[in-house]
Amino acid sequence: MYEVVILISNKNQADWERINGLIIPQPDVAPECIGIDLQGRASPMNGYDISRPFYLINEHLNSDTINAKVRAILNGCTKKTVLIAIHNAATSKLTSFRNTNAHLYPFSHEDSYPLWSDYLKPYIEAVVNVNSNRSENIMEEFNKLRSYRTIDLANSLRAAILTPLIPFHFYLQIENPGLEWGSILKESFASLKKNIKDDKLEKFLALQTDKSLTEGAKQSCKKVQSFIDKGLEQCQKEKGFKKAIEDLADSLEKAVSFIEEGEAAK
Amino acid sequence: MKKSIKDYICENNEILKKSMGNVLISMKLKMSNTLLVNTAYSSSGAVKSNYPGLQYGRELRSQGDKAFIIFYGFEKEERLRKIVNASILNSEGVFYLQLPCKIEKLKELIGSIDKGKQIKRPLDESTSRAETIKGIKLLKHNLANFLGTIEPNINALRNADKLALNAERTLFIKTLSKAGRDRLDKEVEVLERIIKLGHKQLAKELAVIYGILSITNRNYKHFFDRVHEDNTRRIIDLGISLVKDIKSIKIQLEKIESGV
Repeated sequence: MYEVVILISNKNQADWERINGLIIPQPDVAPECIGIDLQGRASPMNGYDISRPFYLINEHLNSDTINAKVRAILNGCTKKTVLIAIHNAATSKLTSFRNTNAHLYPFSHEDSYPLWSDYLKPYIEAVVNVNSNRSENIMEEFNKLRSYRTIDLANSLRAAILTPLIPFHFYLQIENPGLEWGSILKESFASLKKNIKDDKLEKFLALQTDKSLTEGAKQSCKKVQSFIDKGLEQCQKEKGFKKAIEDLADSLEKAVSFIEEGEAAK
Repeated sequence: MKKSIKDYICENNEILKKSMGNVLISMKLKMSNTLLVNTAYSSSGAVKSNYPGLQYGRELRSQGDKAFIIFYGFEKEERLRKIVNASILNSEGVFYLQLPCKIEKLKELIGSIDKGKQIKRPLDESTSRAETIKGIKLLKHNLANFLGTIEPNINALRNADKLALNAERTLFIKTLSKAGRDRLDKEVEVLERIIKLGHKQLAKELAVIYGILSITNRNYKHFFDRVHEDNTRRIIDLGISLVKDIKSIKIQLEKIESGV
């Protein structure tokens, strides 16, 4: 998901140890930076594989020093996915750091990695274009990213696949639907087409290895797609579309169960 | 102001929100005192946890909101119940609906809710305990921050020689002004919220701490008002006493936390 994490915080290492109980000092990897690794310490996060380098930079340093440290890390890990999280971000000391956008995006998976496009990119953009109202949540978000598991990604992709289908599923159950549905279905239809273009199902299926589940999900998806190919009007008319949506939801559910069992067995 | 049907649907996806709203309208379902909450819903738009909607429901109930809640999402209920935040599903007047679903099922569920019924306990025991611990952690953290503002300045003032005294004092006054006279009011509010969670076992202990914190808050205000006065010795004494009280509250909170 991401290979390097840089956390800029107004708290020092000891504070983080006290709060999270999970930070272990490591030999410095980049000049003047504290390298910390989250492995091996008894902590709520201990179940996750977190072997990526993790840097903590004290926000109380002046902005030039922060810039230099961030650049030193980024220069040392080009082509790696990098997460920059700013804790307690509403401080003017980061101004010049934020202006060096060119140095903030050495990401390698920008287009191909769903977690990047669906989650990390907006997150980092939000963090970099810092908004003081969001700073309260940044560490919680950051913790979420740190603990992201395949099952979470699967759930998120499933939601992305099924959400635009739900309006059709409701619509096809209503006897005399009103005109207000027109714009909703139009928008949903556009999202469905985008999902197909983005290969959302392929990304979802890549998360698990069971061939029969993959085949089942592909068949269900094909069926749904055959309705989409007929166009918006047919999707609104054909009752079979409702059943196809339910079948697709069932097959995705089976795949999610499979992924979850696999994670539980790890 | 009269609420529209969409006000009862906590959903970030605008299309899904409109669809749910249309379904409710077309089925003539009345939503007063019932919320539909997507398990993925985030009130701020920021994703705080894997199921921010469940967290949102917990927060609503923690704040004493007694609306009925129907969570919905794509997960199977039995899987959802296994996750950490999901204990809220055991609370009174909380339901779950897996999508895609038959409209009839939604209709039955909403119809089955007795709108006249009063929810006695907004949170189940397990969620109430978890929220209490969370609140105590937050309060401890906030008090530690407060101590970080006061204690180093008091020490600096204590250790300052005659030459440095005025400068230290000016610095301290500046720091205190930034913190504000009402700095501890919000911590009192945090504690009030924790008490409102209604964790029966802790009610007495929390009430005692509430009393001490309220007195400490009053003392802090007194200290804040006096800090401009000339008697540095008195200021130091008041400051030391304040620090001692806050530390004592922290210790008591730690004891409660470890016993829960």
